[in-house]
Amino acid sequence: MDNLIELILLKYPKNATENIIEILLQIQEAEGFISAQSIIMLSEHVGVQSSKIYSVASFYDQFVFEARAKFIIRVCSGTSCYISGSDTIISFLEKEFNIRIGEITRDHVFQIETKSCLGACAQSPVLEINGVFYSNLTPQRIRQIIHQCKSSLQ
Amino acid sequence: MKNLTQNDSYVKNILLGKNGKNSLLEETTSILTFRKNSKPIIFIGSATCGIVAGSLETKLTLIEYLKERQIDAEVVEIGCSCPCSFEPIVEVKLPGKNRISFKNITSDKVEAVLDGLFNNDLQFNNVIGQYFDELHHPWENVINISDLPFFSAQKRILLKNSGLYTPENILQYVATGGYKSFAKCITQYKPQDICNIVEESQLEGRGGGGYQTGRKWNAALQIAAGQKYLICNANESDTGSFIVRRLIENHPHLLIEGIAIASFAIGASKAYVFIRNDYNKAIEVLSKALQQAKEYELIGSNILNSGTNFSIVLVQSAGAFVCGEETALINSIAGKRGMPSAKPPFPVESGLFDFPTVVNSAETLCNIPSIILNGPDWFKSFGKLNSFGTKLISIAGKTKTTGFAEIEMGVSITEVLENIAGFESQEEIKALQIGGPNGSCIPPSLFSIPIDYQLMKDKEIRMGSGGIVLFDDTTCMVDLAKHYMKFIKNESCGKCIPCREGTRKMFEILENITISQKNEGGHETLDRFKGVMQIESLANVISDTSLCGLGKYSPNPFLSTLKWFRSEYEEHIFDRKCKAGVCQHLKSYYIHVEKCTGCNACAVRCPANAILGNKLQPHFILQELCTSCGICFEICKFSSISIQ
Amino acid sequence: MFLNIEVNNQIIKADKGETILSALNRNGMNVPTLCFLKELNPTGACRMCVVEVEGYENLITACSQPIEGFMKIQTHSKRVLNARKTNLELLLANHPDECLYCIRNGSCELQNLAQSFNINERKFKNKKFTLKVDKSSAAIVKETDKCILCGRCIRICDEVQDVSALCFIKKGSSTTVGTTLNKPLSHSNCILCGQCIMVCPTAGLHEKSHTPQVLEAMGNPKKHTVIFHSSSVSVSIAEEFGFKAGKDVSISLNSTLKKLGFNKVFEVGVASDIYLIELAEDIINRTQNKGPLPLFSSCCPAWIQFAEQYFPGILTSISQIKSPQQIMGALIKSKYADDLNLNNKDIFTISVMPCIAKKQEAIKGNTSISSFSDVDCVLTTRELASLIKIKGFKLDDTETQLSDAPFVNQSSASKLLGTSGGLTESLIRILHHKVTGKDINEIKQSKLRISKGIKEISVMLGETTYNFAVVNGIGNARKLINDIMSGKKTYHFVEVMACKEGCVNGGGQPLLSEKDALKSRIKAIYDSDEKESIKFPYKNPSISEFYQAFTKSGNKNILITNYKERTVLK
Repeated sequence: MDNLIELILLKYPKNATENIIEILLQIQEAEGFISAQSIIMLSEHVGVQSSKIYSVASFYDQFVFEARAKFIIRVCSGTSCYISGSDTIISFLEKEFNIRIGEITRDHVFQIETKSCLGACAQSPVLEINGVFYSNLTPQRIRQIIHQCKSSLQ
Repeated sequence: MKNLTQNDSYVKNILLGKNGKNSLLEETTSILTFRKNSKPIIFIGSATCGIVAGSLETKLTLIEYLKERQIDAEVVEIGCSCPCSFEPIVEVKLPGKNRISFKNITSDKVEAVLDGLFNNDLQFNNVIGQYFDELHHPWENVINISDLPFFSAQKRILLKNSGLYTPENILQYVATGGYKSFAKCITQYKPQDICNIVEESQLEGRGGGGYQTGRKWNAALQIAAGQKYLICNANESDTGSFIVRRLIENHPHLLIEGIAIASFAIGASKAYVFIRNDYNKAIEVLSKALQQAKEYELIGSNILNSGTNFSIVLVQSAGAFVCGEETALINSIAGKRGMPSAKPPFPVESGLFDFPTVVNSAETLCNIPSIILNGPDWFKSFGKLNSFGTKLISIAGKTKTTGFAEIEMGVSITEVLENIAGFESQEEIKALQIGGPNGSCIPPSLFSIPIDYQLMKDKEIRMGSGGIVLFDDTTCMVDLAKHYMKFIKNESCGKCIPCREGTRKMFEILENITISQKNEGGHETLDRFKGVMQIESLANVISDTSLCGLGKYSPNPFLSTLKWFRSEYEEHIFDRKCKAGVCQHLKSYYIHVEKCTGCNACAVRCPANAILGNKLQPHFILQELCTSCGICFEICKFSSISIQ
Repeated sequence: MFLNIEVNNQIIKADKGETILSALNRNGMNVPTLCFLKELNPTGACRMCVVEVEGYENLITACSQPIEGFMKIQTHSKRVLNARKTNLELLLANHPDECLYCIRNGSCELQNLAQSFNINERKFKNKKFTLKVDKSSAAIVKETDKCILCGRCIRICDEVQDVSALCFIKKGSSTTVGTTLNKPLSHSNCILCGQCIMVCPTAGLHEKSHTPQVLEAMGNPKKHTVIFHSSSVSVSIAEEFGFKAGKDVSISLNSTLKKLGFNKVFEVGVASDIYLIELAEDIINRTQNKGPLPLFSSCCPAWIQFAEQYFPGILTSISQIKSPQQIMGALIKSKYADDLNLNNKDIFTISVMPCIAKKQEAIKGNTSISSFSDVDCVLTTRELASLIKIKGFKLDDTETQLSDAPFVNQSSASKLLGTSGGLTESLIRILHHKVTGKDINEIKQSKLRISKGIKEISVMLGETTYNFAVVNGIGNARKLINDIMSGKKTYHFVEVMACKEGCVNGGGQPLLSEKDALKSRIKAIYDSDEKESIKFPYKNPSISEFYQAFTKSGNKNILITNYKERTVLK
């Protein structure tokens, strides 16, 4: 894991603060979240105290500091989706997985989040799972999507 | 095509125009622009809207279709021509025939549509129209695409080639006149000339501020500094707006050209494009385009042998609405928390890494090449009132056509709704929001207002980035204001008190209006009244004292809805009713005596024990116990429960 | 260049380029501030200092707006007052209503502001509080709910101390102040200097109180309570009782403490004298035995903490002599206990210090090689003042009493330890005597008495020129150590104090002190050096007895401590 971070850090010059966010994005991409170890390594690399790195990372919604589920279901809550019923989708998902928004299912497979606007207003309401967009969200369709995710694990 | 891409002399020949009339160049150009094709070309819209609507599956089915039937055809990914509701869009150019466009071609429709096309039996249900070209044979009974109101109502300058070509393909961009302005700038103009042209054009910043771009550039140019930066703000985070996303997905080279000219004009050798990291497609397209521009030596060192050096760095934003504010954006690029800084100093004096920095929105920069090429007077010939040029808008929400369009400044909102959003009458529209969460919510009575920075400002309407969201009767304006305030309170950077605490309080007060507590005593009612009394003065203080623009305009969704939809607020506060039926807590449930069979299912499930009745006798709801949870409504199989 | 500006219909002069706030203050006009910190860059976060400027659409923050030309300013118009009050009310809605039970009751800037705005009813509904309190640290308590997010602690920790233990976490209405990964303070790189407490306007950050333990011990008849206080306390504690800053009350403090019921009351000066003598010997030894040099001072516990975290490589260069506080405790629990025939377990030692890191020093296992702790409790200046009030007394400056026997006397040099440069100045007096056998003629080292982050002095003693560096503020210390490690600078001795200007500005000193209080405290210390008769530690009659004992046993172990590397999230 440390090697992975080292490889990422090697791509960037030392003591250059302008790369902090980009490096954090890459670390999260590689590890799934921002670990204490990666904060320390990054802080040494760019020559900025760890508290400042953490402060920056925690500012942006993008970064998380704990391991996440395999599938992150992001329901768009932009205005267009909101008025087209994104709340109903969220509560459907909450019931379906028996978790609240932001939480992770016990088996660490699913996690529900809202996203402020996915920019796909024409098809609203939409949701995104690990980078793939889904629209036309009826309960049956959502169940089907969830099923697809589950079966892709096997 | 392959030979062409390997040979960069085409780009240089076109841009530097040394060879005069050259038949080989002309030939190449017509192939690149699809005016000449020897085998069928099938185009598929591959911008985000297309992908979400299923264009990837459509493409696979298409390729399969061609393979099965052994049809030798080229499949080309294009951007989008902008009516998003038509996606997935498939277009076909048969040799010698006009290019024809089909809408909503999901994978299941591929076979029928292509069969029809190849057998001269068009599926007219799916036809959008054809592109007229005097060189080719037209399709019979197919409308000219530019005669469709959606297109004819637009003035497409930036979007003139939207959805026609592969966005990142630099050769096609050059073949259609791209990078000519940039070549002109670095070979013929001095930075001062360019700043003057732009200042003369009176181009206003399209990101929302409406500040004159040329003035900003001139200010930056006058400052002597070892290093200057240009930043392209593409951190589009207005909810319900997708202008920047589509612009980049369709026209990455136009943006690069705009950035290149701007950087040259202010003397910046490095430019940053700050883009939302979840705009995957836009990033992909822009990166490819940047790579190509580098390969063809349009960015890098000694560009087109002019001695000019210049580089563009793509910076991914990690998602924060406030980073659209220029000082916050600058802090974010520098690797800090995206919090706005107090001005002065202004970025033009001391911005990124304390060097002079100009921040322009992506749309502003895309306007530059045509201004340079055609001159400020040409630019000023567009625009019916105070603002010149065109404005990109996006239309979403409860609209007939969702889409992305370019309209001439001064066109009224009514015209937009009629021609672009596809409404014959405005009766179905209750309100619209323009300019994202910080913008204004306006009623139909104001729809006659023209899209014009000054005029809208006079009416206290913020055009913002130009995203329009429409609402109908099913939208509750109080709930909508709450939705926006929730967004704003979450997206506040947290630095200054009025924005951090004030927007939270505003959200809480609005929430208080839309919920009803069980056993509500005088205390809650008083709180609600008090809250509403305070919220207006609170909103004014927030506007007056906030550090940045986000804070300053944060009460807008509330103030504008209150101004124009006061009756809905009163209804919520006094009558405790939500006409749109959105505010769950304010719904009252009633059982129709004639429909109720007395099955008792609702009474068993009611968490508040508010439903009484004997078995097989009509039941009724005790309103004072009911918590409006809606469970009875959901489970009643006989539709005997109604909401009021 | 001077400009005229108009403020509240009155013309005042302003420097071109200075901020509105600075011009107002210079002209005796006040606007309220919360996030503003003198000498640091303004952030414009709290919006308390907003003023109305003609020609500007919005209200302008006085702290950040430079004056470039003529301006017409209203500092207290209806619009301005309403804005300030509303913002204050917003803060209050987000602040627990427990002023009566709050450590900062009476010394809280938020409370003072609320009072001055005559806020006597709740305007916005209160939020619910979690009352999450971080008590993990040995000396600092962090109460998240009471934090108003002004960011002062973060800025002082970063910009002045260059430690950056604290940072803003998250954004918007979920913003909090915390450490890396929001770990408890004890896991962080905090060095416990307490400067954050000094700038905190509320009780968001405050010291861990030892008062309950002290009261408990005082009420226990089996405990022999011994209290000793430092010179930096006696020049500042009077401020807590309404006296003007700069009043030295060491002898009246003795009498007050005696009245409070402590069995013995000492001044820490005796231990300071021993510390100085031992330190001087350490310098001479190291100079003769080839290092390692430079020798770093060891009296500042925040500095020790800092070195253990950031510069483990120089730990061997830090003198192993215990700090005066620990020496005092050790003396009391050994020689003094023996003399009085007391079991050292029955002695309860209380140290009164201007510092909160001393609380950590007292419990740090490695400062004592014996089985008992040298110091049982540490009170800050503030805590002692409150203890005096709890016991129903006030500081009586008419009664005087000397320190109890056997620690009756102290040299005036020992008192100088409270200021940056004072330690070195005293050391030079001893070194001069050790090397030449004579008292130094010019006791004052004016080069060391200036207010500066890094000071240097070279003194010729015998045939050797000794080079000294004096540094205050841990941020400056980091710079200096880097210079030393890279070989750019060489010294014999480096005096380090973690707080700017030294202990007079320690994290345990009175809060919300008047303007120039620091200068007055420093002056009081130098004045007493002027006045008092014993100016040289080696002439202090109270210590000869101890030195006889050391010579007899040949063992100075009770004066020795050691250091070890600390791994933290830095």
